[in-house]
Amino acid sequence: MSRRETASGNWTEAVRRRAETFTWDALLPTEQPVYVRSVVYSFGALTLGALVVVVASGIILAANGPFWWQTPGAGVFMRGIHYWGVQAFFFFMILHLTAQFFMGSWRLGRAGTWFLGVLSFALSVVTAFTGYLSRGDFFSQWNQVQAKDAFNGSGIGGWFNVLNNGQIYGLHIAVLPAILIAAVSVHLLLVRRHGVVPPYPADNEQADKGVLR
Amino acid sequence: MRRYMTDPAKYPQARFDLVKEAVISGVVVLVIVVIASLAFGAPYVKPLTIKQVASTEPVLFLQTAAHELDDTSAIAQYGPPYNNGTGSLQAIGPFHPQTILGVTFPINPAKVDVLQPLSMATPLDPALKPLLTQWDGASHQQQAAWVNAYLAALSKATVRGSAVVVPAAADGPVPAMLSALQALGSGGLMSGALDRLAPVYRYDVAPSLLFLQGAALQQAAQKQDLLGGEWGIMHDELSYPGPWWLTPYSALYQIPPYSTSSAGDLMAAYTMLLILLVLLAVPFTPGLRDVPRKLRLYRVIWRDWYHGVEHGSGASAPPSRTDRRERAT
Repeated sequence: MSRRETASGNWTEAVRRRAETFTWDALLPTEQPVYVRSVVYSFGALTLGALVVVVASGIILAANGPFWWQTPGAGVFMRGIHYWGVQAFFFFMILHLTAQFFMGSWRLGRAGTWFLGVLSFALSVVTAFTGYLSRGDFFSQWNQVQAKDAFNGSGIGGWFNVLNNGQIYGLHIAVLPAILIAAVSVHLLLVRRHGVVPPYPADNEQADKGVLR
Repeated sequence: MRRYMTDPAKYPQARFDLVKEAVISGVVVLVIVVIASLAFGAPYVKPLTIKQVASTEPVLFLQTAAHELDDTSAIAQYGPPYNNGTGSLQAIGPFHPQTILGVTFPINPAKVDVLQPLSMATPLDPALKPLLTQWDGASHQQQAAWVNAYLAALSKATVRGSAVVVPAAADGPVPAMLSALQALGSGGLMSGALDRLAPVYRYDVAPSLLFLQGAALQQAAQKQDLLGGEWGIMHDELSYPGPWWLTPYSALYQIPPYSTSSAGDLMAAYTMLLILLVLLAVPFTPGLRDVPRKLRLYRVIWRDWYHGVEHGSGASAPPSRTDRRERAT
């Protein structure tokens, strides 16, 4: 076997070995540590539930097109589902993020999980913003002409043209959701891989500082 | 003394059904969202059209068109990405990222907003042709003098419905040209004549939005308290919640130097980027990463666990050895 093949084999083997750690039981556990017992643990699941509602309603909106969602009836109702889904998504996501901060959830090797969570929040803000621009009403127009100064001034307006509905709509329904869903998926895999972060030590917290980072 | 464990698997376990939790969460959100959508609908305010402005605000329409025609509009002098002007160029000292990508979406407002639509209308109104020839043949100084004389006369104009009677002045072909443009606008043909950056698939509405973006949209937004200094972008939803997650960003626009500087957008964007980087770096930032440990709010979240640990009750009993030691052996 050539050296090149060995290296290639090692790389693919490493991926395979890593994949093997994600058994169905690891992904869908039947047990959790007893400290996982608080309403805050449902915030993440509720955020994910809202994301599913937002993506599903978004797919239905995209399938029917802009005229449909601006016409009273089923289109406006579905736009309402999408809109309130986004409201719920941000509500639960911010509760989740705040709770995880106060639990110090980045401890014990979980910095990557925190990083992807914060990144998902930032991506969600941009994705939601492109949604506001895609609605096709006065708010979209006003936010477009206002936002152009912010985007131009910060230096990305030369590429991110908020006056180009085609680009904004493409970013909103394909590019940004794809990146967001990828970030959230890896975030979830990391949560399952590391398990739920243990509570801070009950006794002599100062002495345990070394293992808390 | 009991030692601390780092591996969740080493703690006492309890039965847990992730699938059940996921299904319940999804159903809870769906029910809330469906009820909210049925009860409150979704925010929508009819878009502003050029036809509307040409019909109901004819003087505003003519002023806008006149400034576009002699390149004195905000967009004509804007700067990148539309042109090489400096009117809206944001800079903090030598730092002006707006210029990095250059002029990527060139717009010539006089041509796109006025001359081209009129030229397209010549088959319908052949009298426009000599007017356009007269305009094209004049020097820049002459064109500017005509537009200035026209704007002065327009300020004394009388308005009857959508008809504007402009007093006579030394303004050459400008009154007839802009009157024809207003007719095009009030007839509803103008946005179609403007948004022609692509030959057929016209997703880019920059020309029509840039025509409306100055006074027309500004006035309409002001009526709804939507200006930036009025928390515009986050309370833009009538009685709906709006994008309240932009509160920190909108807040910047209420305080100096963001609210007073001509580079306010630039400063606000990079301030938000800095806040994002700080949030991302929390796990690695001494002091910041210790905040939750010092605040001890986690004692509320894990109160059952700590109660069990401190009172030694049942399944919540603390682990008796470290998994670190286990790993070492």
